[in-house]
Amino acid sequence: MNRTLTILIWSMVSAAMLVIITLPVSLEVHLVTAVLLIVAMGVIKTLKLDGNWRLLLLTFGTIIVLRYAFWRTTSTLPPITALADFIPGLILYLAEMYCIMMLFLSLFVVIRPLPLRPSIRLQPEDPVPFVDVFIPTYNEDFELLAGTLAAAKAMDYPADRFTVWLLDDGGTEAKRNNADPDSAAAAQDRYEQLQALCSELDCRYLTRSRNEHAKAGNLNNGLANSSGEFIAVFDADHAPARDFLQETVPYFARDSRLFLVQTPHFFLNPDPLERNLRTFETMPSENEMFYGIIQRGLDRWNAAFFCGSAALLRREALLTNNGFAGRSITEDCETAIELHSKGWNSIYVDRPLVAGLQPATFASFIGQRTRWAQGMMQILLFSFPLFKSGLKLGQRLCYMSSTLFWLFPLPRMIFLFAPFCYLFFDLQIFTASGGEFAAYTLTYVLVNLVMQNSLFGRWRWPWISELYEYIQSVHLLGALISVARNPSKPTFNVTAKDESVDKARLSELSRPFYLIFLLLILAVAMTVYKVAAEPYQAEITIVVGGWNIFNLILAGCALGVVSERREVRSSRRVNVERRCEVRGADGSWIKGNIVNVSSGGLALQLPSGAAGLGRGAPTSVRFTPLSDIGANEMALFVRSATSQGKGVELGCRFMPESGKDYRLIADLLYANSANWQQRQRSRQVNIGIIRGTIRFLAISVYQTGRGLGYLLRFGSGRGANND
Amino acid sequence: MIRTRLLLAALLSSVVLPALAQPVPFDMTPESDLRQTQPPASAPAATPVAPQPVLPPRSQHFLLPSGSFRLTGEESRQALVVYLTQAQAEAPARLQLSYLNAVVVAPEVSHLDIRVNGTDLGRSAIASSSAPSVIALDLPGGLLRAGANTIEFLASQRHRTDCTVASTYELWTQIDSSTAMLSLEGADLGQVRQLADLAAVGLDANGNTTIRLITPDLTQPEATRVAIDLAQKLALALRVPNLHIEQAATLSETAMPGVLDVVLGPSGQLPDSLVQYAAQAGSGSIAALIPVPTGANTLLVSGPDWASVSQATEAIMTAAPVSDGRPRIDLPYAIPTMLGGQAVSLADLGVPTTEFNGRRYRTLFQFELPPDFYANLYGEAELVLDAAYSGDVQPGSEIDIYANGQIASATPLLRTDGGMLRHTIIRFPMTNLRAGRNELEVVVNLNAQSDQVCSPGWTGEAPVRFVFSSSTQFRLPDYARAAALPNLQGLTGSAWPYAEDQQVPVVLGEGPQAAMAAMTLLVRAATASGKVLPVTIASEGVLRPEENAILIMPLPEMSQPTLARIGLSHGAIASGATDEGAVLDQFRSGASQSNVFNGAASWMLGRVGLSLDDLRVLPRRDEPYPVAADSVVLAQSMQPEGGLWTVLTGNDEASMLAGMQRLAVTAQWRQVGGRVSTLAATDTNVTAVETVAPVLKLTQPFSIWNLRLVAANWFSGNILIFTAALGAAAMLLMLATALALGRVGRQK
Repeated sequence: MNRTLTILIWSMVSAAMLVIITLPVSLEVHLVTAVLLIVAMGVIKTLKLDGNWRLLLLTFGTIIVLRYAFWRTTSTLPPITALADFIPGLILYLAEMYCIMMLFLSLFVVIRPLPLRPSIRLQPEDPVPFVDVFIPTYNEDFELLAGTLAAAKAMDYPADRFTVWLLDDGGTEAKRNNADPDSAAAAQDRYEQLQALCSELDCRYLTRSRNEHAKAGNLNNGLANSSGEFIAVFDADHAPARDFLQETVPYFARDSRLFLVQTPHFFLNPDPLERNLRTFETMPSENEMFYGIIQRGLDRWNAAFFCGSAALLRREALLTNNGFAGRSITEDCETAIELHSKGWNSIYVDRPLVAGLQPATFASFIGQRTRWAQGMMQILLFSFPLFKSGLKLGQRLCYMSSTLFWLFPLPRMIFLFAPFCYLFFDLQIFTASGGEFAAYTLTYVLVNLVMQNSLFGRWRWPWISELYEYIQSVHLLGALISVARNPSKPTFNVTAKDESVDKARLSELSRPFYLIFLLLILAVAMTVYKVAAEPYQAEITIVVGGWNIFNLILAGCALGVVSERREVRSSRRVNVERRCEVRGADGSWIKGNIVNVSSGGLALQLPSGAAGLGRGAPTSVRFTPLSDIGANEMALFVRSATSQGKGVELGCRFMPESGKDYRLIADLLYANSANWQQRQRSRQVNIGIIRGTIRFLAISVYQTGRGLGYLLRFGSGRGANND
Repeated sequence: MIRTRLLLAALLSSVVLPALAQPVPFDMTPESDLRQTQPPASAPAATPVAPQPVLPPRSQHFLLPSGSFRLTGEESRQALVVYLTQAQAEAPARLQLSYLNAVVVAPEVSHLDIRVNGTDLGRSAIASSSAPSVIALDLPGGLLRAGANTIEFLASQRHRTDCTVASTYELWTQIDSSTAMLSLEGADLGQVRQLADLAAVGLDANGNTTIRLITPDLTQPEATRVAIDLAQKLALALRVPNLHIEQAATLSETAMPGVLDVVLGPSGQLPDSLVQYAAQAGSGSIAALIPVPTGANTLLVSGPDWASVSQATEAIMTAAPVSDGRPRIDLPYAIPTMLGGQAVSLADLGVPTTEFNGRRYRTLFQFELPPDFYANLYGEAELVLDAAYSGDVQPGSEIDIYANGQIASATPLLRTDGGMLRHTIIRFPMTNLRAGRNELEVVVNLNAQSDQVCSPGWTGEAPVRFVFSSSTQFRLPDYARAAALPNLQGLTGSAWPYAEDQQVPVVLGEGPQAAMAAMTLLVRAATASGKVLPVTIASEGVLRPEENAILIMPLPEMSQPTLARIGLSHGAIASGATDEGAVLDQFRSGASQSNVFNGAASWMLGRVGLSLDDLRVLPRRDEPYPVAADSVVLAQSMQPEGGLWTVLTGNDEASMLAGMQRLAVTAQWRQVGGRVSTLAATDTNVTAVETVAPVLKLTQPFSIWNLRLVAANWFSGNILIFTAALGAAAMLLMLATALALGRVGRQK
C-alpha cells in the first residue's frame, strides 16, 4: 500500500472519528464514555503495554480531549453581551485551546519517536574528512576554556584531520580598544592569555575586529577563516567526550544532503530548580525530556534542530545559507529551519557526547530562558513555520510545536489569575454546572495527566512541567510581550554558567513569587469566606477554590526554587574507575585507583594505607591517558584523607599549570561518555501519576516552608540592599 | 319565550347554589372571623342582577371550557375564547361571574382585572373568601365581535400576612364555570344559523359541548365512517378541546346551550320530524343548520345516499376552517410550531412585560413541536431572558423552568447588587418536551431582603423588585427529526402519522358503543392536531401489516394474531386465576437482582442521574402488556412490515367507551404516551408504558446534519453503544495511524 493511500485512509478514519466525537450526546453519555475510556487507558498503562497499545491509549485520550474541546467551545463561553464575563472568559478559553493545540502538536511530534540509533564508528577503510571544531567564547574564564579545549583536543580522531578553534569574542579589537581603559586592559589580558593557552594546547585562536551578530557572527568568522568539510560546535562550557567525532562523522557519508548531526547536551551540574529542590540525583532533568524524546520525535519528521552546541554541521550546507543565521537571537534553530527549508536533512543521535554546565542561579537560568523564548518568538514572527515554503508538512508542524511552545507563559499566567476573576470580582467566566464540570473538565484533566505521563513519564514526572513553566512564566511573560512589541529588539545575552552560590540567599528575582503567593493565600481566605457567606454557590466556590489551591501548591513549590541554597560548583563528581599511581611522601609510586573526578579535583583510593600523605600534602598522580597527550603525570594537593578499613581515600585538588595538565584532567573527566548515559538512565524512571503527585505534594509542602523561612532570614536584608 | 325565561331563572339560581356549596375555609384566624361578617355585604352585590319581571329576555353564553377556573399565585392570568354569531355580538352584553378566594388573600391589595378583546373592563377587589361574590360588568357596545372573542382574567393576589415564597402557594381565586357567562339581551340569541358560526354553539354550564347524533344505523360501515368523519369535522368547527358525543333517537326537546343536534343520514332515513327536508336532501348533498320549533341548534347532514352524505360534510370545513384567527376555545394565545433553529419572542406568545413586587413570579406559554421531534435525550433548548431585579433581591432567589410540568432547570440569581439579565441564556434539557403542544412555565422565586421584616401590608406595598420583559425569547436549536415508534404522543399531539395518510383503516368492534368510542378517540386526536384523520372502516381480516391502522374493539373480540401484533395480552385477566406461586416467584426474582454489586453500581449511577438500565448493551424487547380487568387501554405497536397500529381496547364495549371518554379529558389526554397507556376505572392518572425498543423512522428528506442529530439522540439512549462505537472508531484510527506511521516519516 502506498503512502498516499494510507494517508487517505487515515484522513477518512479521522473524519469519521470527528463526526462521532462531535455528536451532541447528553452529559450522562459523555460521563459514562469518559470513565470507561479512562479505565481502558489505566489498564493499558498499568500493564505497560507498548506499541499499538500505546497508540490506542493516546487515541482514547484524544477522544476525551476533543470532546472536551467541543463542549468547551459550544457550551461554556459566557454570553458576549456580558462583556465583563465574556472577555476574561474568552481569554481563558483561548488559553485552554492553546494547551490542547500544543498537546496535539506534541502528540504529533512524539507519536512514535525514532528508536536509538546504533553506534556506528568510523571504520578503518572510511575516508576521514577534515573537521573544524569551533569553540565560541565571550567571557568564560581561562580554566573552563582550558578544560574544554583540552577535551576537544583529546577527541578520538586523527590529529591531522581536525583543528580546534577558539573563537574569542571577548578579545576582539573593539574590546581591546574599549574607551574604558580597565575593560580594554582586561580584554587585552584575555587576548594574550588565551592565545598562549591555544598555542600550548595546539589549538587555533581566532578573534575578530568587532562583535557583530553575536554568536552567529563569531561562528561565521570562524567559517570564513577555516576550510574543513565539517564544523563541530561546542559551547565554551561543553566539553566533548573522546568519541564525539567517531559517533557523528560517519552519518555524513551516508547522506550527502545531511547538514546536521545533533547530540544531546548533558549537564554535570543541576539547574536551580534541581539544586534548590534537591532532585538532581533522583529525578530526570528538565532538558532530558527535550533531548530524550522530543528531539527523537522531531528526528522522525526530519526536523531535529541545531541547539547551538554539541553538533556537527556540513560546511557546504552552511554556505548555502551564508553561514549561521543571525537574524534572531536563537541562531541555532533559525539556521536549522532555513536549511531544512532548503531541502537539507538533519539527524539526532541520542547519546550524550558532551558534558557541560547549565546556569547555576535562578537569575541566570531565567536569563537563558528569556533568550530562548524571545529567539523562538522571533522565528515564529520572522518565518512563520506553518507557511514557510520548502518545509514538508511534518517539519512545519514540528517547528510550530517547537516555537509555539514558548508561548506557555501566557496560559500559565492566565490559569494562575483566572480563579481571581470569580473569587475577588464575582465574574462568571466559565458557564457550566457542577455536573458538567465533573463530567467534562475533570475527565479532561485526568486524561491529560495520563497522556502526558504515558508520553513523557520517563523523562518528566507529574506536575514538574507545570512547575518549570510557572517559575519561568513570571519573568518570561514580560519578555514575550517585549518581542511582540518590537520583534528585532532583543539582543543576545550570553548566559553565565560558571557562577556558584557561595551562601544561601534569596534570588534577586524572587519578589514577584512572594507577591503571587500572598495573593493566592488571600484567594484561599476569600474562598473560605465565600463558602461561609454565600452557601448558595458553595459548589462553584469550592471548584474554583480548589483550582486556586492547586496554583498555591505550585507557587509554594516555586518559593523553594527561588530560595538559593549554598553550593560549591566543583563538588559535582563523576564516578570513574581508573588505575593510577600516586607519589608517596617518600617519593615512591604507590598503586591506587581514581574513583571519581570533578572539574576541581579527584578522589583516590589507596588500598594499602596513606603512604604518609595527609591533609595539605602536595603529591602527584600518574595514569595512562586514553589519547596520546605526551604526558601522564600531574600535580595534586591533598585536601582530605579518610581511612577505609585498611585502605584510605584521599580527596585531592588539581594544581594545573600547563596545557598538558588540562588535557590529563579532560582525559579523566570526559573519556567515557557511556558513563554519562548510565547516569541519565538511572534517573529516567516513570514513577507514575499517583506516586508522582504525592511526591510533588510533599516537595511543595517542604519547599513552601523553606521559601517562607528564607524570606524571614534574608528578606529584610535584601530589602535593605534594595533601598 | 316562557321557556327561555324559566331557563334564565334556573341558571341564575345556579349562580348562587354552587357557590353556597363552597366549603368555608377552616383557617379561622381572627381576620377570617372578621370576614365572617361580610357575607351580608357581598350578598346585596349579587342582588342587582337578580331577575326582575320587566327585564327583556336574555340568553346565556357560558364561558369556561372546563368545570372551574382557578387563578393561583400572586400574578395569574387565564384566558379563553368565546365564539359569537353576528347577532350575539351586536346584542347588549353583560359579563358576569361569581368567585370565591382563599382567606389569606389580602383584599386591599388583591384585585381581578377582566379584559375582553384587549380592552380592560375594570378592576374588582378580590374580597370574597367566605362566600362567592358576583361580578357583573356591562360591556360597551361594539366590543364584542362576530367570531372569536378573547376574555382574559388577570388576578393579582397578595398574602395578608406572610412574605415568604411558600405563602404564595396559598393564594387562589376560583371561578365556577356555571356562573361565568355572557348574558346577552335579546330573544333566541342562542340560535346558530350558519355553518361558519358553528363554534357559537358554545358550552353548557359544565364547560362541555355535546353533539347528539341522530343517525339511523351505526353498525353499517359507511354510516359509521361518515359519522366518525363528521364528528371530527364538527369538533374542529366547534373549536372545542373535547366533544361529547351521544347517540340519540329524537331531536332535543328544548334548546340547551352547548348542545348540537346532528341529524345524519341519507334522505330516505331522516327522522319523521324532519321529513320536510327529505325532498331537498333527496336531490343533493345538504349540510345546514335548520330551524326547528324548539329552537335547539340542529345540523342536518344528508343527501340521496351515503356517498353524497359524506360529500355534504365537506361544507363544514369549508365554512369553518381551522385557522390562526380561530383558536381553540381553551387555547387563546398563539401556539406556533417551533422547528429547529427557530426563536420566538414571548410577546408573540401572549406574555406581557411585567413589573413585579411579589415573591413568586410565574408565566406560562405554549408552543407546538412536530410529531417527529426526536431530541428529548440529548438536546437543550434556550430561554434568552431579558429581565432585571433590584438590590432587594437576595441570593437564594432562582429562576426555574418547568417543561410540561416537570422541572427542567433551576438557575440561581447570584449577584447581590441587583442586576440586569439582558439576553441571559438559560439552557435546559428538552427531556420533557414532546410531539404536539408543549407548555413551558417560567417561575422566578424572589427572596427579598425587605420581606424578612414583613411589616403589615408589605406584601402589597413592596416596591417593584423584578421586571420580566416580553422581549425574552424562547429558542430551539436545530433538533433531530425522526419518529421513534411506537409513540402514542404522536397520535395524541399531532394525529401522526394517520392525519397524513390517504386512508386509515379503522377496525371497529361490534356494536354502536365501539363506534362512539372510535369517534371520541378520533375527535380528540383531531382537536389536538387540528387535522381530520381520513378513516375507512375495515375488518380485522383485511388489515395489512404494512399499512397504518387503528383498531377499536374490546379485548374479547380481538383475534389472537391481532393481539400478538398489537403487543397486548390477556395476562392480567388470566393472572387472577393463577396461584400465588407465580407472585412469589416474581417477587423473588425481583429481589435477586438487588445484590451487592448491583446495589453499589446503581447507587453510583444514581449520583449522576443514571440507572443500570441505561447501561444495557443487549437490545430489549417490548414484552406484551397484560391488560388489567377494569382498564381502558390505548396501545400502539410498530409492525415489522412497516405499519403503525394503534388500538383502543377494554374488557367490554361499555367500559371501553366510558374509559375513552375519561381519557379524552385534556388533563388525562396529555398524560397518554409511550407504547401503552392505560386508565383504570378508579384512577385519575394515566399509566404510560415507555417503549424500550422503538423503531426509528426517518421522516425528513435525507440530510447529513439531521442524521447526525438523530444519531446523537439515539446514542444518548444507548450509552454503551456510543462508547463501543467510539472504541471501535478508536481502534480503527489506531490501526490507520499505525499503518500511516509505517509509511510516513523516518522509520529507523
